[in-house]
Amino acid sequence: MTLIAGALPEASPLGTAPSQVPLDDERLPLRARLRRLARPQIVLGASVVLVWLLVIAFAGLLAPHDPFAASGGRLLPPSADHLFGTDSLGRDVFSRVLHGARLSLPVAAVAIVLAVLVGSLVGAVAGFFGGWVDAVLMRLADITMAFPSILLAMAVAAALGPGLTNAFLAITAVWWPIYARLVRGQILSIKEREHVLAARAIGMRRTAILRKHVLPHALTPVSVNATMDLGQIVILVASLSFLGLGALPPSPEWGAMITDGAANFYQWWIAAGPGIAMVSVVLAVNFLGDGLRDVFDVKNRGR
Amino acid sequence: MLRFTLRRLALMPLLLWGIVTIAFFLSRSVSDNPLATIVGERNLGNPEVVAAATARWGLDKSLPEQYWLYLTNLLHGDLGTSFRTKSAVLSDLGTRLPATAELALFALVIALVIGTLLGVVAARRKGGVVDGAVRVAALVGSSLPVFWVGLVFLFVFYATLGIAPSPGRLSARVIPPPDVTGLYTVDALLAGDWPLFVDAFEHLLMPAFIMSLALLGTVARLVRSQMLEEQGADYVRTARAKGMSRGQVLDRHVLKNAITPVVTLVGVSVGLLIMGAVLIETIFSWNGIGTYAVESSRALDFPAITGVCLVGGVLFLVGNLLTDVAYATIDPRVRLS
Amino acid sequence: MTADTGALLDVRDLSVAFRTDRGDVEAVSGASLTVHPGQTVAVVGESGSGKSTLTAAVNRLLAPNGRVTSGTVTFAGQDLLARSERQMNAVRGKQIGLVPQDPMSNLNPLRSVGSQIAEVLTVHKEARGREAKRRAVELLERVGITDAARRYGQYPHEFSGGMRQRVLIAMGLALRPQLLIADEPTSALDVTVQKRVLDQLDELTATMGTAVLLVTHDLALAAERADHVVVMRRGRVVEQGSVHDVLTAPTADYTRLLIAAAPSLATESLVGPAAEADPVVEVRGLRKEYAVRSGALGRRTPFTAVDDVSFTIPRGTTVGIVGESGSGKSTVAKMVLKLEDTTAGELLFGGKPVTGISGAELFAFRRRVQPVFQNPYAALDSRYTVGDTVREPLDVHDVGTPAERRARVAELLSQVALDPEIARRYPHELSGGQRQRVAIARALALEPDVVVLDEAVSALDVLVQAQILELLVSLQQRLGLSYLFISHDLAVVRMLCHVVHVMKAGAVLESGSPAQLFDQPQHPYTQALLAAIPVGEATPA
Repeated sequence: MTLIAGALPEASPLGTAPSQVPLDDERLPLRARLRRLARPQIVLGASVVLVWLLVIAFAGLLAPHDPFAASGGRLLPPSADHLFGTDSLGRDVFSRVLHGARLSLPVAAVAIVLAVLVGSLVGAVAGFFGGWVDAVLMRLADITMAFPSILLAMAVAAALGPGLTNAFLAITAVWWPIYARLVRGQILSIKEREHVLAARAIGMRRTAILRKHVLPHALTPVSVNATMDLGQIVILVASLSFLGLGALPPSPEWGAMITDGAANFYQWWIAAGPGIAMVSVVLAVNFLGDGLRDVFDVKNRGR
Repeated sequence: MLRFTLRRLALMPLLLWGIVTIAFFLSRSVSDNPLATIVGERNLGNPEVVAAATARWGLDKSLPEQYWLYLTNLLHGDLGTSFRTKSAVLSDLGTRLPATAELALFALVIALVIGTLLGVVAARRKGGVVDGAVRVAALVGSSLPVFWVGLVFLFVFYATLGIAPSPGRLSARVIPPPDVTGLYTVDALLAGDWPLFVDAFEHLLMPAFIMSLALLGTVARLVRSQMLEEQGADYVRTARAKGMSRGQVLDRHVLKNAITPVVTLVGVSVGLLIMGAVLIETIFSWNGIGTYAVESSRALDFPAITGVCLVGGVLFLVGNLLTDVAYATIDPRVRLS
Repeated sequence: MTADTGALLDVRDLSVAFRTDRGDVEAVSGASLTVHPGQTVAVVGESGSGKSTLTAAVNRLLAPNGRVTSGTVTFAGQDLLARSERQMNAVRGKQIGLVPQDPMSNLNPLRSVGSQIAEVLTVHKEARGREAKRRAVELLERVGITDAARRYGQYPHEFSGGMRQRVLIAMGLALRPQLLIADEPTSALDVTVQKRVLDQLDELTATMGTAVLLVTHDLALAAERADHVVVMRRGRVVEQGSVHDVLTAPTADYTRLLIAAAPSLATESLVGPAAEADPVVEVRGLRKEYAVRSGALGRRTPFTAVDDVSFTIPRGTTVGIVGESGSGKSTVAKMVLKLEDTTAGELLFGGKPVTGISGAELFAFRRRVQPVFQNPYAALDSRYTVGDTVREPLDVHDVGTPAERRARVAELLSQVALDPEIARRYPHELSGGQRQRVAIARALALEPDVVVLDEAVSALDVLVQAQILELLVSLQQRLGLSYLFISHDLAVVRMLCHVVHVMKAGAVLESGSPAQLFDQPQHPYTQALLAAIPVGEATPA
């Protein structure tokens, strides 16, 4: 028999009963993965997110009125001039909603990025080094997790005083353990894989293995989960503001605007504008996240 | 499993101590002066009143001293006295807990029952119209800010249509039932007062439903995905090879396996329910732990804030412990490992 | 061709297609076979040959994306493809039983073992309640499970793999079906367990007069257990006939290759006698204990995975360690690689102790000893190209200039008979055999003295396996490599090794040259292992 591979063509991978072809994304060619991204759910979610990104970029141009100054009578119902009506101070709700996007979305995005960074670092260190480091870090995560998120956020906001910056610090403090656990779990499973053993057998440094062969594989589940969480954080930021613990008047933050709507309960349009805006954002992000989770087959972590 | 539970139990004091410590130092690191709450804005200019209050509430002691005092009192079951209500935090919490419990338990039941049903129905008709509708509805459910939905529901069903009762636990001028459990619906039934039960139930329905929305969506999605995953399991094909119909396999094999993980959601849902309680209670004038937490935070009422956090932590830990026990009774693999 | 009227099962020109992302894929193309009452027919093929799909189409349990595109399936005179689902339910379990492949995943973990057997009886209204339970216990006894009445109420996780497979056999045969489909019924089991389970299956089907459609990748096993063999390749039947005809006078080239490649104890060794040489690796009294938590309080009790193992690897030779799962053979491999700490004992490399080394010494040791693992899918990082993977050891050890490294990668790839162009590809674009060649190239990059092959050919199909074995032998001859070859497959070990150690429960039971060990085994366990291997001849009934 010759020694050249391919003299005997092996059973092609296509020959396997396709029901058994693993859906693990890492074995699929990139193009097939991209094709699977073209789902109505993902496309719809991404389009709405894109629209909001444009709003953030051009809120000043798009808003018909000054969001901070009265531009007509107080508590006017929606009209051609005031699409979402005016609020208790006569400000245009529509303009305020557009400007509010500049607060809610970036704050939520930065909060999730911070939480992911802090959590991933903690989780990576805990998972890769194990031992007492792992025990201490994970107990700390347990304590933070056992703290109901809104109460911790309220305590932090109360301590630091209300304000968007503090609200977002509070949210980072609440959210990091989720990613610490996720990344740690990923690492514990990845570090027993044979390609990591092979890297160890070469004599690679542990930190290099972590960086080159372990962490990149945890990236997919982390980013899918972060997308799923972004919507929750938009809601949490608004909730804190609604309770008077986040952004304060006259900020056009959506939660704070809904507080004004609650005070003027019968002028429904004041709360309707920011509410609908928020739902559209959160829904779009969740559609996107849910679709990505299906495509990349990231397990529901039951939260 | 027993070992696991014991380890969990052993860990509980540590976790609670951690929560208390974080809550204590967080609330005391406040930049504003809590004396305004204690003595009132008007008396802030009066040095005698301020000095007396400072001594009375132990604010003249150093922070470590205050912390030590708080911990020793805590071991005796004393959570301190609220700056705002001037009564013991423990009794404040005690009187308010039943209102929140009634709301949260009812919301939990709604979420579990309806969520499971929707998930099962969707999985049975995978890819169909019903499935699509359930999937979208579930996603919408977890995307809605509860406080806003509360306002919308109140405006539509109470203010406009007039078919929902006013906010609050009972209608105006209705006297609460004699206190047994503190849950008005249960107490009204115990007292045999049917009209009172109906009134309490009507008031409970809308806030509990709104509170359940987020969890309901999560449950429906989890059940659906679990059902679909289990349907692809090898043992399902084996069961079909025995001559069982698709429906028989679903009922006798898939369902139990698919629903088991839902139990784990109950544990994690405690946090979600507390968050819902804080917001829903604020909107529906529900005099429970949630409103207490909000009022205490606004008033920089340290002992009350720490107390609420402690209660929240205890509820979370108890919820998770119950989950473990429930899981172990359902899944024989956990029971013995 | 007309349907064979005397046949129990007659499959004619059957084609099955699966709907996938890449469009329809035909998994079975125009396959035909016949099973007569009481006969055992084996369908043999490599992975992807369509053998499992063919049998799944018979009792109409294809995956949801699969469908029969043409052909007929006639069973006991009825056209199965024309039956309604309801009618099929009456056939499945009662007339056609199934013994599936993986005993771990084919039982419902949340229901007791007994109830899952009794279910076959109740679904077909053959028995109910206490009567169903009585008959299920009886079935458990018949498949050789002792203390069946108590075992009835236990859950699958309380059963070993072999016992679960017996439970699945009890389920498949509960209603004495006319036909039993056994899809790789023992490929997940250790060889000694496999033999016991198959003997039991033979005995039961013989007494019940049940015909068996046996799906297997193992030609020798098929030859030993079946009357008739159907050889499949890429969805087509390439040859079929009586066992004797197919084995002694195969007509298809593919069958001839399969027979030639299938390792058996009769296959000639690929290596000559061991030359005298100094030991490059010496292992003395190696021991590994793991702390295992047990009891309600979680007290740590030591579990001994490896117990007092000693051997040497003379330079340029292959030392084999053979054993079943749980024997501790892979732990030995990891300790020799210094990927796992030793609890006790000494490891010498080139005469120098390396047991406790670290830092620069360990780094230098890494260059001398390299691994190749079992799973060709997990062994390569999916995010790097083949070239990056093979170059990585050179980068880590700072060998040569970038240009030299590139040249070395090309050289290494040609050494393992791969086209150097493959360096730009990603692992998912390669076949299992190609990936294993890449893993070997990576192991050779640093010009090691010793390569530890931990089940390195076990996951490969038999033809690919034969190629890789030849590659390993030629590399050894050209580069003077020493191998530590870990395997559960005695036939492969016999082909490749100069010295063999038999391990069980952490200890070496018997050592010797393949000739000594396989021709005159001394230890009863070695004898049992050898007796359990299918030899490719039907045992006279």
